[in-house]
Amino acid sequence: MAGIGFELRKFMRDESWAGVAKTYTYAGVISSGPWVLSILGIMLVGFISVSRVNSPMLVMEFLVSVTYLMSSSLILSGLLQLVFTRFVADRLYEGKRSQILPNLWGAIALTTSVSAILGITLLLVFFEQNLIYQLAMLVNFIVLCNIWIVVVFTAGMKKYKTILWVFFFSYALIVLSSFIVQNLGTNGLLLAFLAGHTLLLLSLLVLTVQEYDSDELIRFDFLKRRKIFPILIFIGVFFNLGVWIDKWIFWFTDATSDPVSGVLRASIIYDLPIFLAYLAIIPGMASFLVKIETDFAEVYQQYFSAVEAGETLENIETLRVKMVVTIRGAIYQIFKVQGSTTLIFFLLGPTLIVWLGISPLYIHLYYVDLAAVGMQVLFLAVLNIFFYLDLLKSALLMTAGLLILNTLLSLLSLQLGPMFYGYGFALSIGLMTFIGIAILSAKLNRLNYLTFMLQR
Amino acid sequence: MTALPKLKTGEQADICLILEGTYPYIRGGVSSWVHQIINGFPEYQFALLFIGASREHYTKMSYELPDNVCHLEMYYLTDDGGSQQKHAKPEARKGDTDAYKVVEHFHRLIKQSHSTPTEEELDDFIQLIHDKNKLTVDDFLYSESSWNFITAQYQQHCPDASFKDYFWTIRAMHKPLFNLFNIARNAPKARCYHTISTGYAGLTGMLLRYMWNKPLMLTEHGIYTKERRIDLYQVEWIKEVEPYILTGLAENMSYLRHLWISFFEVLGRLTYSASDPIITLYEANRTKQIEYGADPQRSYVIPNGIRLERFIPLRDKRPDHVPPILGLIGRVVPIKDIKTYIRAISSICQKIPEAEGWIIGPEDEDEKYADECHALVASLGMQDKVKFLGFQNIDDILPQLGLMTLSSISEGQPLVILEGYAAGLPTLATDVGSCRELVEGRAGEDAALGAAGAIVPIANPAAMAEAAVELLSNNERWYAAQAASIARVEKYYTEEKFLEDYRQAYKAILTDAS
Repeated sequence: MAGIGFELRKFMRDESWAGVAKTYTYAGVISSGPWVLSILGIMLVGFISVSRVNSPMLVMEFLVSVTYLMSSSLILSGLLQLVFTRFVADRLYEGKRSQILPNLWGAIALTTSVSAILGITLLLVFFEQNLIYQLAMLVNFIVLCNIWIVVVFTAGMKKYKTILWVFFFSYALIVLSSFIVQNLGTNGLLLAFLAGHTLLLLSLLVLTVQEYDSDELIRFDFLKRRKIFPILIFIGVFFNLGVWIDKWIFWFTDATSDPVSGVLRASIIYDLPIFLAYLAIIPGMASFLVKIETDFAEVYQQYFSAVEAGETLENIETLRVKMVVTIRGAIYQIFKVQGSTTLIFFLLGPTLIVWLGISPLYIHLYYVDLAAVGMQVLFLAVLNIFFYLDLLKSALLMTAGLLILNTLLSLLSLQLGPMFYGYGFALSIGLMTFIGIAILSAKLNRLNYLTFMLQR
Repeated sequence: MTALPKLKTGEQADICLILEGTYPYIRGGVSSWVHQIINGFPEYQFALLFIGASREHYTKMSYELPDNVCHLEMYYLTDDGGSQQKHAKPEARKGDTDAYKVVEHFHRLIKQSHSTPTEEELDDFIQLIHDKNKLTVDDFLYSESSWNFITAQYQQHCPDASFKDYFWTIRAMHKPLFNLFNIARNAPKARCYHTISTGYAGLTGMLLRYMWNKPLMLTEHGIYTKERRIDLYQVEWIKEVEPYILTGLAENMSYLRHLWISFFEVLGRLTYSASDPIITLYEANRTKQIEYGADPQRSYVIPNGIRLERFIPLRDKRPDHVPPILGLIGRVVPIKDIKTYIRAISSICQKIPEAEGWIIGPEDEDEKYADECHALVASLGMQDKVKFLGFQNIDDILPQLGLMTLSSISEGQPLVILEGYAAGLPTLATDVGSCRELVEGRAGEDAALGAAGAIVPIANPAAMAEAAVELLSNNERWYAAQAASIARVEKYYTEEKFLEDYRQAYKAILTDAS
C-alpha cells in the first residue's frame, strides 16, 4: 500500500495553498486622468488665445483642430491604455521590474507607428490644408497618443506633485511660445501646442526611466495573449468613445454645426456649454481621487491582506463591511463637493454665458451639462472601484452601455430639437452611473464569495 | 502502446476490481495479490477500474494483463472532474440550491461518527449523483450555493480557524470526488464490484453499489484509514493552528489535519457500509476495521496463500543440524528496523559465538539508512558476523538459515514468513501486523498446532536476542517450531485454500447478484 499513500500525499500537496487574490492598485487616475487633462488643455489654450489673438476665426480654427486632436488621440490610445497599464501592474506584482521599460518602449513604438499610419491616412484622405498645418497636426497627434500611454503609467508611480509641475511647465511653454509665433496664425499656435506637449512627453519619459532599470531595449510582451486581459482593450475604447460620441454626433450634424477648417466642423452651441461645464469637474474629481487613494486604498489593502493572511471569516467580513462603508463615504463626499460646485456654477451660469458671448438661449444646455458632468464624476468613481476589485466585466458593461446609450439618446435628442440637446449625454451617463452603483452594491455584498470562489 | 481491453456496449464483466494506485501500474504486495486473483479465476471475466493520483505517475504497466481481463479503464483524481470552465477567471453562478440541501443532509448523516448511513438514507444523495447535471464540479467550485454551504459549515465547526486554509482544504478534499462521480456514472458494467481498498476506490465502490444495485465486496490489505492517518501525521504542509482551537479534539493536532483524517474516516465508513463481505488478511486488521466502522457480521479473514510446490523440496536441502544463522529477507529501510536486528545479532553472538546474521535484500532504496547500518555493524566490530548479501535466490538461501527474522516496526502479512514455513524454517518476528497470528496461530485449532517460532516486542534487541538464543540452543523447541511451521502453512496458507475461499466469496456474491 506504500505506493498509494506516497502518491496521495504528493497529490494533496500539489493543491494550491498559494495566493487568493492579487491586489491591484493600478486603477488610480487611469480612467479619469488623461480625459480631464485633455479637457483642461483645450479650455486653457482656448482662453489664452481668445485673450490675445485678434482674429476670432483663427482662434476658432485652432481650438477646433486641438479638440479633434485630443478626442481622436484619446480614442485611439484607449485601445492600449488600460490593457498596457494592467500589464505593467501584473509585472510589478510578479516583481519583474526589469521588464517594464523595454515594454514601455515597445508600447511607444507601437503607438507611434499606428498613430502615424492612421494620421497620414486621414490627412491624405480628408485634409486639403497647407503642408505645415498637416505636418503639425500629424506630429501633435502622435505625441498626444504617446502622452496618454505614458501619463497613465506615470500616474501609477504616484508622483502626483512632480506630474503637476511637469504639466504646469509644459502648458506655460505653450503660452510663452504662442507669443513668439503669434504671426504665424493657426500653424504657429499648433507649433506652440506641439512644443509644450513634446516637453510634457519627454519629461514624463524621464520620470519613468528614472524609476526602472532594464537590461533590454525593447520588448513586446504586452501583445502576448496570455499576459494581458483583452477585455481592457474594449473597456478603454468604449469609455473614450462613450464620452466623445455625442460631441462627434453634434459636429457632423448640419443643423448643429458649421465647417471651420477643411473637413473639421464644430458645434458652437453644443461645445462651449459642455466644455465650460467640464470646468466644474475639478473639485469633485480631486476630492474623489484623494478619498480613493487614501481611505479606500487602505481598507482595500486591509481586506485582501486579511484574506491572504488566513484570518477568520468573521474578520474578513468585518473588513468587507468597512470597505462598503468607505465606498459609501466616498460617494457621499462626491455628492457634497460636486453638489456645491455645481450650485456655484449654476448660479454663475448667466454671467459666464454672457461673458463668453454665447446666446442665453442655450443656457439650459449649460445647466443640463452641469448635471451630466457631476454625474460623470460618480461614473468615474464607480469605474475606478471596479478596476480595483478586478470586476472587469462590470466595467465593460458600464462603458459599453455608455457608448450605446450616448449614441442612441444623442441622435434622439437631435430629432427632438434644441430643447433636448445635451439630454442625450446627461441621461446616458446618469443611467449608466445608476446601473454601475447598483452593480457595485450587489458585487460588494457578495465580495467574499467573489474573492474566494471565483478562482481556479 | 497497445490498445487497452474494452468491453463492448451491452457487455458486462463478471467482476469489476476497483484499484487505487496499484495494479497493473505499480508493483507491490497488493498488485501481486490482484494478479494472483485474476489468474486464479480464469472462469471469470474481470474488468479493472484503475484510480490514480494523476496521469503522469502511471505511464508503463508493470504486469502483463491476463487473458480474462476484458476491460481496463483509468481515472485520475487530479482530472478536472468534468469542468466546463476553461477560462482563467471562472464565471459567477447561482448553483443548484436543492442539490446543496441534499448535500447538507448527506453531511449530517456522515458526521454522526461511528454510524453508517443506510441505503435508504443515502437514496436522495445517490439520485443526485446519478444526474450529471445536478451536482457538478463547477457548481462546487464556483457557485453561491456551494459557497453558502461551505461558509455555513465553517461557522458551525471552526469559526476561529484560518478561513483561507479551511477553504482550500475543503476544495482540495472534495474536488477529486467529482471525478469519482463521473466514474460511478460511466463505469464498466459488471455483475459485482470488488474494491481493493476503502478510500477513493472504496467510495467509488459504494456509489456503484447503490447506483447500479450491484453487490460490492471489499478486500482491504493495509487499513487505509489508518495509513492515511499516519501519512497525515508525517506531512509538514499542513499549517499548525493556534492550540486554543483544538479544545474538544482528543489529540493535539491541527484542525486541518483533523479535517483530512475525518475525511478519510468517512470514506472508510461509507465503504464499509456498502460492502458485504468485508475481507481482510488477518485478525488484527479485522479488529481495526471494526474499530473504523465495519460491521463484524460481514467481516472475515482470508489470508494470503503461497504455492507450496516450490518450497517443499527445500526442506530436504537443510543440514542435519540447526544452523545458527538468522536471516532477514527484506529491503534495507527504516521500517524494517535493521538496526535493532544488528544489535540483537551482536548480543546473540555473546551466547552463541558461531551465530551469524544475513541481510538479504536491496540497499539502494534508502542509501543513507543502509550506510548507517554498515557503520553500526563496523562500530560493533561485527563485520564478519553480519553480512549484507544483497539480492539472492531465495531457494539457495532458505535451507541455510536457522531462523527467519523480522525486526520490522510495521508489517502486513509477510510472504517471507510463509515461504520460510513452507521450506521448514521457523520465524522470529516482532509483534506487528499478522506476525503473531502467523507464529502462534489464531485461537482454536490453529493455535493448537503450536508456536512456529517466537514473537518479541518491537525495537527491543535484548528480547529478540534472548528469544533467538532460546530457539537456537534448544533443538527440541526448534524442531517443534519447524513442525508447527509446516503444519500451519500447509493447513491455512496455501494458494489453493486462498483461492478456494475467494471462490466461495465470489460464488456467494454473484448468486446474490442474479
